[in-house]
Amino acid sequence: MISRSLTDNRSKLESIFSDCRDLVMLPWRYGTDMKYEALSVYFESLAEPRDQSFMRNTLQSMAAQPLCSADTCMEQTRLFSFFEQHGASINDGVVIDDFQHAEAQLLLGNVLIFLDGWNKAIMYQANNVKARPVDEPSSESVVKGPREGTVENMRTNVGLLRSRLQTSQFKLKNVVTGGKTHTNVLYGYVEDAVPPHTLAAFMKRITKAEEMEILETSYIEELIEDAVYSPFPQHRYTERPDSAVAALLEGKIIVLVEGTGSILVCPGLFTEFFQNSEDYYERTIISTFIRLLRIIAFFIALLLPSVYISLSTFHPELIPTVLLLAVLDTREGIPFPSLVEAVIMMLSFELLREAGIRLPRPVGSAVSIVGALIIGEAAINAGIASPIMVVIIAVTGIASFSIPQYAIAIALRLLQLPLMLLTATMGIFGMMIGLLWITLHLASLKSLGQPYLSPLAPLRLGQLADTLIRSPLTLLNRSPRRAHNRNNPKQSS
Amino acid sequence: MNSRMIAAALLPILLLTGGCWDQVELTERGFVMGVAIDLAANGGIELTAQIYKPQQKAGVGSSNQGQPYANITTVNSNIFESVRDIPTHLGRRAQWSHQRVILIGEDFAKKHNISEALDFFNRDHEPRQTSKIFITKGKANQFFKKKPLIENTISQQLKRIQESTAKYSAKSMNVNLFMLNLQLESQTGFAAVPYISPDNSQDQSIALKGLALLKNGKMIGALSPIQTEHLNILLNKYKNSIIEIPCEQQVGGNHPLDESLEVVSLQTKIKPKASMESIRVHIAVQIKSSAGELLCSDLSTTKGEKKFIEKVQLLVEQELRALTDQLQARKIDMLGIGNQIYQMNPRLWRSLKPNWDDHFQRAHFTYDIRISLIDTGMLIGKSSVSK
Amino acid sequence: MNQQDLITSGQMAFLFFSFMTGSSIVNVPGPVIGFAHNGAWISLIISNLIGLLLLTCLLMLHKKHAGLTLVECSRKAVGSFVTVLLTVPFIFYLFLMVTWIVIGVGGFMNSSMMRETPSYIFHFFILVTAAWTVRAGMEVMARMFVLYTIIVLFFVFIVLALLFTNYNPDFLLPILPDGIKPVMLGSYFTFGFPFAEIVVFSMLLPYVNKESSSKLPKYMVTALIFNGFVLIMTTLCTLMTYGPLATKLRYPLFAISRLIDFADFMQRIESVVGISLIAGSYMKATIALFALNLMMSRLFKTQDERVFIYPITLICFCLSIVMFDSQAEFDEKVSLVWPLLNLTLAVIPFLIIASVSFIKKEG
Repeated sequence: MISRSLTDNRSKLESIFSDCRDLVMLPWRYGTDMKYEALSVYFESLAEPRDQSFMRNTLQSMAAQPLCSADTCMEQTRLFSFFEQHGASINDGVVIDDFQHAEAQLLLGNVLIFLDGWNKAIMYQANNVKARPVDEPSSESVVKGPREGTVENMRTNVGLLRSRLQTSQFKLKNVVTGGKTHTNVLYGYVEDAVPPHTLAAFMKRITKAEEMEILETSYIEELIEDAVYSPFPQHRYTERPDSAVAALLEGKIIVLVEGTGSILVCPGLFTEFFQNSEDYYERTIISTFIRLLRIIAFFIALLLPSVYISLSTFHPELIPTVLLLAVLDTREGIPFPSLVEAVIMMLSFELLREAGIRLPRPVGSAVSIVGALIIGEAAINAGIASPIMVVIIAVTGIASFSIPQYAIAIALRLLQLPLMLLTATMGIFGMMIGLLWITLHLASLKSLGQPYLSPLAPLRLGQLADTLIRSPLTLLNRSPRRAHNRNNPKQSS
Repeated sequence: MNSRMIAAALLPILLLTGGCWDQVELTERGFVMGVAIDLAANGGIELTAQIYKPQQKAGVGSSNQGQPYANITTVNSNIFESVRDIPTHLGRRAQWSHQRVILIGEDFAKKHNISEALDFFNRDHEPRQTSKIFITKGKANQFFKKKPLIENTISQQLKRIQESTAKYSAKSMNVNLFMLNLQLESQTGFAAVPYISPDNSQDQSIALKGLALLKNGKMIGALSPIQTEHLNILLNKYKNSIIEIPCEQQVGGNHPLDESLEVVSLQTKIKPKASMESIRVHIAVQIKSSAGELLCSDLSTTKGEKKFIEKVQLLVEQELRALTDQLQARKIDMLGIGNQIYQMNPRLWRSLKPNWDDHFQRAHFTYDIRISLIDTGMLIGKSSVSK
Repeated sequence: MNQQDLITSGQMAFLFFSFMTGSSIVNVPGPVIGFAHNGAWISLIISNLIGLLLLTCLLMLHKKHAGLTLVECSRKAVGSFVTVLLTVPFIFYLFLMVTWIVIGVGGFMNSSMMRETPSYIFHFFILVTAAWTVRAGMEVMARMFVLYTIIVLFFVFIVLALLFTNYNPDFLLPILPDGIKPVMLGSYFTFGFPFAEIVVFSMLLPYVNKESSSKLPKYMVTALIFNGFVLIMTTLCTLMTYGPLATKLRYPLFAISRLIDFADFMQRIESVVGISLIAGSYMKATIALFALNLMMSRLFKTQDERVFIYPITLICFCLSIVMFDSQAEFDEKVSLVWPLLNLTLAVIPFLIIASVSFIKKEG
């Protein structure tokens, strides 16, 4: 409860926010003869105090003018009732009567003004934390297309989205999370595009977030995910507003978290991890070719080392003779069996990749020199690795990087290792069994109730048009993109 | 969750302790390029395998390695036993999946049914049925001592010899293990295998001597390269080659060299008409040709061309008839007439089969050769030889 | 029936096709050519037709008792006691089927691609994968198998197409050198494997959802005819390539794929065929295991329908190791005894239940 006495309020605030050095409490006076006291409270790290002087001047001028004849009215009460009835003023003020609410508003970065003799306070929005400007997204760059990426400030992000999706059907709902962070989480969807049962499942799961500390969007992902232990991601991330808007139009739900730029798109289906927003900005034939290339890259990234191991140790009869003789020449004198060599090279590659991310920028170029030239070349010359193996591991790495979504690329490289083990013990049979297990896992995986492998696994040929190839936009716009949208016409972007 | 994690942890251990039964590193295998089968002195088998020797490129300073192959000879009573003796000499297990050729010495072929030697190659899962087969004059393994001209090993060169000869000059046939088996399994049981001999006189180390003829797997004779050409015509396997036409006229006191006609495409149809009493075979050959060398004929007029063609048709018929007469005399049905009769009328074949050799000897052959001339090359139809 | 576990009739037809073609494409053309020589394709046509008759019976039963598996139909028709008498042999038959499919895969891998590996490794992994797939449910199975079937078919047709230059239609003649008797022997064999195994689907048809149930007969018949077509094509192509040698082959599709030698680099793709064959057998084993599990749980009226899966798998694994001492014994059992077993243990109970069902309603 806010008390009428200013000193009481002040001491209460001081006790709550003791040792918070960035809290500013500014006493000032107003009115004729400056006889009335007031107190502005704000966090100087959060709020921009510039607007304050405007407001003080307003108060000053309002109080200075006689609102009525000199003896029959008390200026303060009139002032108070003016604010309580939301009279017009330069800044929008909200009246607060609860102390806890006041505390929360201060923490949000707003300015509170306590007036002596009033049991309420006025709150002004003045949040102005220095934030990163809207810039090109670092992880999803394109050759052609918009270069705006989301930033940490939620309001900016929502602004980027809503300016692209100008419809009242775009709903945004709030979830306030718990713990000490009280992070604001917003989830959005387009009402007539999203399938109702997916939305219901999502809303049921997101309530788990209310008790948790949410620091980043991936925390939300773990909470609403179907299979936490699966290497395959079931939700997509994007930092591009145009991707998010496209996803919304398809009936996906997006989640925004204050303080992070990544937007979570759920549910994420397997085929979407091979799509990129740039596919739609290039020509049909080119995009189709690139999509097919990604499918090949997927298989290369998953299978190439295993294929090499199985062919060289179990089934040399399957290699064409000319290639085999070349391979023989290079493998003579290598001390390790194929599996060990493959694992060593793979580990070196992963180490290089990690090092490349962690190294500070001035030293970054050294990594490519060290990695490519020295390790690769020197290993071959020392006779530790065969050139074929180096080529295979390099091609595998490149193939996995060409897949647009990073999460799937990591999943693939992770799955290489068990596949290599299976292949090293049982040859091509082992590889097949491994593939069967992986497919079984993928087929039984669901993302928010939708089968992960659709439209491949409940095979719907019509929808494959957007998966394997990229049909021209006119065809895409006319046909429903997902089965559950059969009743809802697709919104044209 | 707990039991699942235990299972997930146990599975790799299960795999790793299982041992890898079929796993053999590439460096533990010796890749056999070619194998030669000869009759050993004591009546057993002398098996020589030519194994590829990798040139070690990994590592700087790899100096001159010598020849990229090694020959291993083992003597034993049968093939598989000899095969299993190879690691005792080489130190590596023999890998048969990239074998290029199988050479069989004619001593062996004359005494044994070669299927006895080849059963291993058919049954075992490693060797492929696409290895080429040769029968050699003299011992088979002397070929492996020769240095190849361009290829890595002589086995590879032999394989290419068979392929290119069949493709470009028709003086031999493409016979790999699969086709040999097909021939041996046919109703008549006759087979033809390319026949080679070493040519120690000059730089060319191999001389192709035509075909070796086998009956029931045993070698019973041979055909010269020219006869092989004619046989190929009859079997519709003639791809591209030359017909040589001798010049009759004398120019300036000498016979000029033979003229030649290049065959562009050739189609032969053999139609037997069989009954218990007689067998009549009609052979129709259609040739599309272009002039290869013109030395004494004049093809610039229709009349001259017609005369030339008739001359060639007669010549071809004579050559073919000479071949069939020889085959009939030797009672060798290389033309597969028995097979055709079987396919069309199995019951008749069953009654003909016991005495098929005699029936074949008495068969009547009629020929219908048609040649058409497509073009005369870059020059007109007159000879460029100035008189 | 679990409401969420239903599949469309198109998917059911794919399952049916993969079941029929899965292991038969490995194991059928060899023996049938061995029995009937050049007339093998006629044997296949005959047994395909008989299979069609059986399928009609099956579809009619399904139409009458939609949503009920064979066990429940028989309970309705002949009562609980006779049901037990009829289904126990069927269960025994399914055990044998799963075990023999798995032994067949092991035998194939052992003889063609991986000699040294003991066959129990192949048995183990195929059975474990099948068990996990059955646990995942019918819907997952249907989703996966549609994909796999398309891939297997694709490879088979590629192989048959690439062999085009090796085909020699003369080898198809003479068609009936020894008369019609070998052809009848061939049909006896192919009826047992795979065409009489259609009756297994009496357990699975109830999983089709109501909306697509009307198209079911059309799809199933198409699947059966297409299956016959694929088998006949394989047999014909084998005959045209290998001619008189064909009777000596154990695994014809694999053997002919070894002959592919195209443009000097497209050689040695028989591994691809090998993998498709294994995938096909895996699919068949999974479906059979699913039917077996379902039958047992329906017979014993258990609440949890997945409780029998692991024990069944373990039993099949042990059986697969100890059942046969030699390859020849297995071949003989499969070619001669299996059709008879099929008839007595499965087809006859099925026909009894079906006929009683039809008579009862009309009566």
